[in-house]
Formats: sequence, C-alpha cells, structure tokens
Amino acid sequence: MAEPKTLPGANGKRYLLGRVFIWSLLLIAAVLYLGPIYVVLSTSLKDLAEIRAGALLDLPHEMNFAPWREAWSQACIGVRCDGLQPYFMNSVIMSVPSVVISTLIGALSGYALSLFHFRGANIIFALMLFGCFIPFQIVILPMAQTLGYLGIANSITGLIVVHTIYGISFTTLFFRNYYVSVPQELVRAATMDGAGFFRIFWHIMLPLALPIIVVSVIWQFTQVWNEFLFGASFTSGGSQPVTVALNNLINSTTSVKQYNVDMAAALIAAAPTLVVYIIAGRFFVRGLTAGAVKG
Amino acid sequence: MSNPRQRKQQMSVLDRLQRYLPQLVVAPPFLLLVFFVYGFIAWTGIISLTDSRMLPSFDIQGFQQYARLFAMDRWDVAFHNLLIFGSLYVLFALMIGCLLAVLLDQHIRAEGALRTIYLYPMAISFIVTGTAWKWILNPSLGIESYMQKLGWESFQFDWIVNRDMAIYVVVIAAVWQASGFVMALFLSALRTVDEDIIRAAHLDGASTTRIYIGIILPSLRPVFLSAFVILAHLSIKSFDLVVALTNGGPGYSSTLPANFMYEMAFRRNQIGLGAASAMMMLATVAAIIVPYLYSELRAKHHG
Amino acid sequence: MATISIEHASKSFGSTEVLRDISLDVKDGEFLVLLGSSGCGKSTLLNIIAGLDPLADGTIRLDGEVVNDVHPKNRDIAMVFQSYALYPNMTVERNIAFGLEMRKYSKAERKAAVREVASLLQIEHLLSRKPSQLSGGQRQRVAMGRALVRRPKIFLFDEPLSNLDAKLRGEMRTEIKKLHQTLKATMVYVTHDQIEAMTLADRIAIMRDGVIQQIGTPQQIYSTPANMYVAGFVGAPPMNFVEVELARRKDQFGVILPAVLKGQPIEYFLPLQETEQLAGREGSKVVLGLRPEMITHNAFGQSSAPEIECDVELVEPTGADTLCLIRLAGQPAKARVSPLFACEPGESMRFSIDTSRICLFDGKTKQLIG
Repeated sequence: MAEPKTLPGANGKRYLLGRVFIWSLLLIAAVLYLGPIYVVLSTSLKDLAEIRAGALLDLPHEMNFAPWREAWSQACIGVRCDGLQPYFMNSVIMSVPSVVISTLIGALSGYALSLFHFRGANIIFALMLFGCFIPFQIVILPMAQTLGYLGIANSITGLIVVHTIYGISFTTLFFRNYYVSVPQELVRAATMDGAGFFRIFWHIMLPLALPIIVVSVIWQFTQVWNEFLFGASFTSGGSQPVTVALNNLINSTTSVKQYNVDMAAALIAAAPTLVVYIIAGRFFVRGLTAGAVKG
Repeated sequence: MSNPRQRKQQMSVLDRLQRYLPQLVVAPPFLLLVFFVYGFIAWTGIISLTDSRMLPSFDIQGFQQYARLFAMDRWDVAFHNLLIFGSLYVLFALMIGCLLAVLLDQHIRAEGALRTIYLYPMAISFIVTGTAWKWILNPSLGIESYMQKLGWESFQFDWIVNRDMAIYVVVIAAVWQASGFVMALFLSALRTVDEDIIRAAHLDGASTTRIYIGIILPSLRPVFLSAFVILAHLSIKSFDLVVALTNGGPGYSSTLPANFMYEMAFRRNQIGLGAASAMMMLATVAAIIVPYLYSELRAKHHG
Repeated sequence: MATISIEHASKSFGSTEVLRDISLDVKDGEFLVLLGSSGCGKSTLLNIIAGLDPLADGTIRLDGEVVNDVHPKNRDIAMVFQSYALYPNMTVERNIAFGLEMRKYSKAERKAAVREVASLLQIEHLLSRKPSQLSGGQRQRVAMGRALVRRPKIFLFDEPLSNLDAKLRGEMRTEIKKLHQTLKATMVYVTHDQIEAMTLADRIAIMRDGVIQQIGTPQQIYSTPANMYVAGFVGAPPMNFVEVELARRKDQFGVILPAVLKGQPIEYFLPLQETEQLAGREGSKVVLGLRPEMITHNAFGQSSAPEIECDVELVEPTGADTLCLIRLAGQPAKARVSPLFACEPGESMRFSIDTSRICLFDGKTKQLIG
C-alpha cells in the first residue's frame, strides 16, 4: 500500500484527524475482543461473595487461586469429583495420536494427489474437498453404530479413530495444495536423478513441507481439542474429552453455582490451544486461510 | 563414458509399479473417505427413510420422517433460527472483518499485536466462548446488573433469557469469534494488491477512501466469496455454541438444526427423525458448497 | 556412442495435439537445438526423450534400442531444467551428488566425482551452500554440475539460460559450447531464443504446432528457410516479407516492386533467375523474402546489383549498422545500412538489392519456391 505519509499534501489536520479516527476504531475493537477474556479471567480469580456483589468488570480485590485448584482437581462433574484434570488428560491422549497419524497420512496422500494429472483427478479432489465441509451430524449415527461393531464405542480409542479419519480430508488438502505449488521440475529432476516415488517424498518433498507440517499439526490439534459433537455423541462418563466435561460442569444444576470455578475451568480447557496460538499464530492463520485459498 | 552401474535396460516390475504408486498411495485414504463420508451419508439417508427410534432399523418406510419433520414446530423454529442466525452472522462477520482489515492496512504500528487480539477467539472452542458470553450476559450478575449498579437504572440487556432475542445472543458470540478470521483473510488479500494501482489512483486524484471503495474492495471479490462460503457453512454446522450459551433455550427458542438433530437422535430416541434432519442440514450445506466447488475447480481447470 | 532416433512420435494432452508424427535423428556427439515459440511441443519432445512423459504413438530409440518403456533413470540421460530445479533443502554438494547417491555410489566415489565437476564449473567454493544462497548464474552452474557428474551419454537442456540476464546468458552460452566440445556428448537443447540456437547448434530443428518445420544447419536455416514461418523466426530484425507480382519485362523475368519516392508511388522491376519452379507463373502473386542486410546502401554506385530509390520513414541506429524503415508494396520493411551512409528520416536514399540471396515464397502455401 502507498504510504500516506509520503504523499505531499496528505499532511496537516485532515491527516491527523484520519489517524485519530482509525486508531480509536481499532482500539475500541481491541477492547471488545479482549473484554470477554478479561471478564472470564478476573471472575476466575474472585471469590463468590465478590462475584455476587455484581462488580463484573472490576478487577478482583485479591488474587484468589482457589477456584483454579478446585476446577482442576476437585469440582464435581457428573458423579466424579476430581475436577477437570482427568478429562484434560483424556483430551491430551486423544489429540496427540489423531494429530500425528492424520498429518502423516495427509503428508503422503497429499503428495501423491499432487502428482495426479489424469482425467478425473479433479473429481477425486472435489470429493475430498467436500469431505471438509460436511456437517458432522450426517455421520454420527452410522459412526456410533460402527464404533459399536468395532468394540470401541465410549472409548478414547474410538475418538482417536474418528478424529483421524475426518482429519485426513483436511491434512491431505493442506499438503496437496502445498505440493502443487512446488515446481514440477523438482520432481522431474529427482526422477532423472534416479529417485522413485518414496525417495522423492522422503528426501525432497517432506523436508520442503516443514511449514505446512506445522500448519497441519496446529490445525488438527485445535480442531481435535476444541471438538464437542463427537465427544458428546460417542463418549460418556470417564472417557469424555475436556470440552464435554466443561459443558457438563457449567450446566450441572446439582450444587450452588460457583461462577469462579466455571470460569477457571473454561480457561483451563482453552489454555492449550491459546498457548499454541500465541506461540505459533502465524501458522495458525495460514491453516485457517488455507481452506479459502484456491486448490 | 557409460555408467558403470547401469541397470538392465528393460523396465523392471518395480519401475512399472512406480507409475501407479501415487494412485496406490491415495487409494486407502480415499477409500476410507468414500466409506466414512459418502457411505455414511447414504447410511444416514437410509435411516431417514425408516421408522428407527431408539435403535436404527432398516425397514424402509418412505418419506414419512420428512413429513413429520416439516410438521414439527420445533424444526420450524430451528430452521427459522438458522436463517436469522446465518444471515446476520455472515453479514456482520464480513462487515466487521473487512473493516478491521482495511483499518489495519493503514500502516498501523501495532498491527501485529492488534491482529493477535482480533484473531485469538478463533483458537478457542465454541464451548468456552459460549461459557464466557453466557456469564457476561446473564441478567442477574452480568453486564446488565453491572450497568444498573453503575447508576444506569433503566439499562436492560436480558436477551439471553428472552425467547424472542436469545438467537441474537448466539449471533453476537459467533460474530465475536469469527470476525477476526475474516479480518485475517482480507488482510492477507489486501497485501497482494498491486501497489502501482494505488499509486496510479493517487496520481489520478482519488482519495484513500475512494481508492478502497472504488478499486481495492471490488478486486477482492474472490475473497468475499470464499469468506461467505466458509461462514455460511459454519453457520449451518453451528452446534456447540448454542449448547454452551443457551442450550437451545429458553424452551427451544434458540435451537438450530444441528441441535435439533442431536436432541432427536441422542436424547429422544427419534433416530429416524434425527437422520432426516441431518439430511436436511447436508442439503443446505451442499446448496452452498457444491456450486462453489464446481466453479472453483472449473475455473482452475481452464486457467 | 549415443544416438537418438525418433519415429512417428505423436502425443496429445487432452484434446490438444502437442506432437504430430515427429521423426528425428540425432547423431552421436551432435548438438541439436529444438527451436520454437512456447507451446510448439519442443519441451514435450525433450521430456519424451528423457522418459518423463510417456510416448503415445511411435518409437524412440537410444543407440538403436527401443526405449519407449525404459524408466528415465535407466536411460543414462541427464537433464538441465529451466528453473534449475535444485533441491532447496540440500547443499550444493548433495544436490550434485544426489543422482549418484540414488545409484548407490559410495561416499568416497561421490565426493571425488563432485570435486571434479565442481572444479570444471568453478563452483568449489559453493559446495557447502544451500541453493537459496546462490545467485542465478551460480544456480545455473550447479544445475549443470548435477547433470555432468553422472557422465551420461546424452544431455538434455530445457531452456537453461532463459532465467539469466542478457550478459550472463551470453557467457553461459559460450561455456555450454565449450563443454560440448570437451565432452563430445550428444546434446539436445530446447530454446525459444533464435540467437542461442544459431550460436550453439550443429543442427537446428524448428518446431511449430507439434510439427518440425525444418531441420538443418544454422546456415541452411538462415539462408534457405523452408517456409515463411522459419524465415520469420530466425534472424533479427526478422526477414521482410513483401507481396509482389511475377512479371516479364523486355524478356527479363522478375518481380514488380512498388515503393514510395518523394511521397509518390513508384514501381521498380527486380530481375530474378527464372527457375523451373517459377517458369510461366507471370502475373501470379508471390511473397518476396528480403533480409534487412539484402537491402543496403550502394556505396559510390560500385555494385552491379539492382537499385531502388525510396523514402526513408524512420532511422534506427544500432551501433554497427543503422536500420532504415522504408515502405515496399505498402508494407514497412527494414534495410540495414552502414551508419556512414544513413540518411535523415524523411529523406530519400538509394539502396542496392542483393537479388542472388532473395527468397520467394508461395503466397498461399507459404513454402519456399525459389
């Protein structure tokens, strides 16, 4: 974009007013975006009396970490009263294999797909792409039955399988779209050098794909960690992932509402993906936009 | 000089295999996809034609589940909500996202930090978002009571417990979550706009505002389209946010089709009806996605 | 020994025919250039020789042996690509050695081979770098090194110099020519640059729409182009084409050449050799092909060649020569004269025309007829 400052005549009062206007809009937006997380964080550090006093937007009088401890290891979810911790671990156990396996499969099949030049390759591509857009309600009934047949209903293993399968569409497309942007001549050169399909993949394509591996891992991790529908549909009790447990905790009507514990639990459930976002936001954005970029 | 380790000249079996390796490698994941996506769609379609209740049966009865579905007020509300939610969500997310992108494109020093702030909601699960907004908007201890305590006695914001307004609360939370994503899409597209066009327009005497409205934004039409398609299909899939924010309430006034489906299939032992509603959701998504994919892939093919 | 022989090769991508019944022989040690504009099928032909694209119809032989179904790696061919196609994740050394690595050469053998090639190409100091740290010219050398290191019997070049700036391109052209003289290997070189083709080739094959228009030495191609396409493609500035009428004046066979003198139309008669092909065609239209250097100044009236005088519309000095824009038969044409004799634009000037080297083309078929 042309730098407004460098344009002669674009100086003085009008320019300054424009800048003030832009900055105020941006700052108002920033406050609105940060507001909810501020409220959640400050509420999680208040005690219940302070919360009931109704000072929603005020800072806590003193830092009170008891709600966090309770949310992590004591709060009652269903019949168990050992907090969010076991469900958090469920989510970890569920995410790691589904992320790793679906990324590996996607890396290889995306590479193979990028080499397709025959008629109908577009149809295969379109079928895979459509798989990224389907509402998962359309598969949960058959999937529930299938998991039952396989004997992995109501288990973390079952969720790993589900997340891996439906993650493959995304990871394959990430890698495929990345590899088609790699010059074809590279593959041709390596073929002339005597490398076959797998050696080209291993020696040349995979090392090149490092950025998209990161994108794929972050995307899959965010998706799997934040997922709710599969978790709610296919698991109950002790094998639920953290999102489902959080929802149960918030909506439990058994005891006195402990808003501070709820908020601490929400933050705990959100922490892993937030941390990933803050560390590797650049790749996160690329994953989000990758779906929108043409194939 | 000939190669000392020259292999025999004829193509070995392995070499012939090499030619088909890409297909062989794609085949297993593709077959998985065919089974678990398209096979399951067909499976759900069949269930939707049966009178399955608690357990799926395969006794085809015809379209009676669809007839039941369309006769239900609950489905009617859900679909009507989807229209309201979908259009407002797409519209506001596009507008806000686009505005933020244009503003951020004005050589803002803190751009990186602001971008991070606008986009972080996208990293959070809908359940967490719903939880946060539910707390902020609850009338007894949330923003309403806070404002009243500040002295604005007449301040009212009880949408979350109001039958007529609850769906708009879902819109607010959803726009909050997604507008940063739209911003990121537009910002990256703005960065690819040819600077010379802007220089030329400046020389022609156009103001910055005019340049954006007249030249740059129209050139971003493909981005508008992509953002529209993504947001529209997300709105149809929306499920968790309603669960956490209003749980469909008050009553079923803020349910969306996705919630309807889950309720029927997993809570009320109406599997046939749930399958029928899932098919309707798929049809809605397909109505948006299929033309989009078709035009995208065709354009690329001829490009 | 390394000969290439292609017979009746055809290839289509979808509904577009890229190669139509191509037959071509490359002799051992020959430097053959495939010349043509983009989309003419020259790169496809190269890829077919390499084995990267399968051949739909026809046969391809290397040293007499049919290799249609032989995998590229077993053809003993190396290729230099337009984009260089260096592996970005590997050092220069490993880039060069990769082909040997894939062929299971030992580390020591690889190292020795790389050293040798690197010193030949003067890139020893770059061996530990990554491709992204190299300049365009250096990348080009590495790409050459990767081809050279395997000592293949055939080298293929796919527009290897088109990504370099003009000066570097000239230097590398010389180096490739030297390399060919040293190695005496069979080389097939694809380019759209007619100067590269002329300077490098033993023989040039000019292609258009999947058909070879003409094969010949650079001089043959230049002086007796088979048709108007070839004539127009080779030479800069290109050959002037003037549509004229065959005629006979005072028993002398020739063509009528309309020009412009002092703003008025004027007709000249150019006497030509009456060949068998042209006999009896008086009154019919033909296309006269005149290279700019065939229309030149007539210093002191020495030359016995026919002369014309006409208005000069524009003057373009190039240094060694000056190009004068004149109008023949209503079409602009360029004449190449010495700067010493060039006139001012708007003035008229006398030109002598070298009729002995003139080309005549059939107006309809565009083929050379005399």
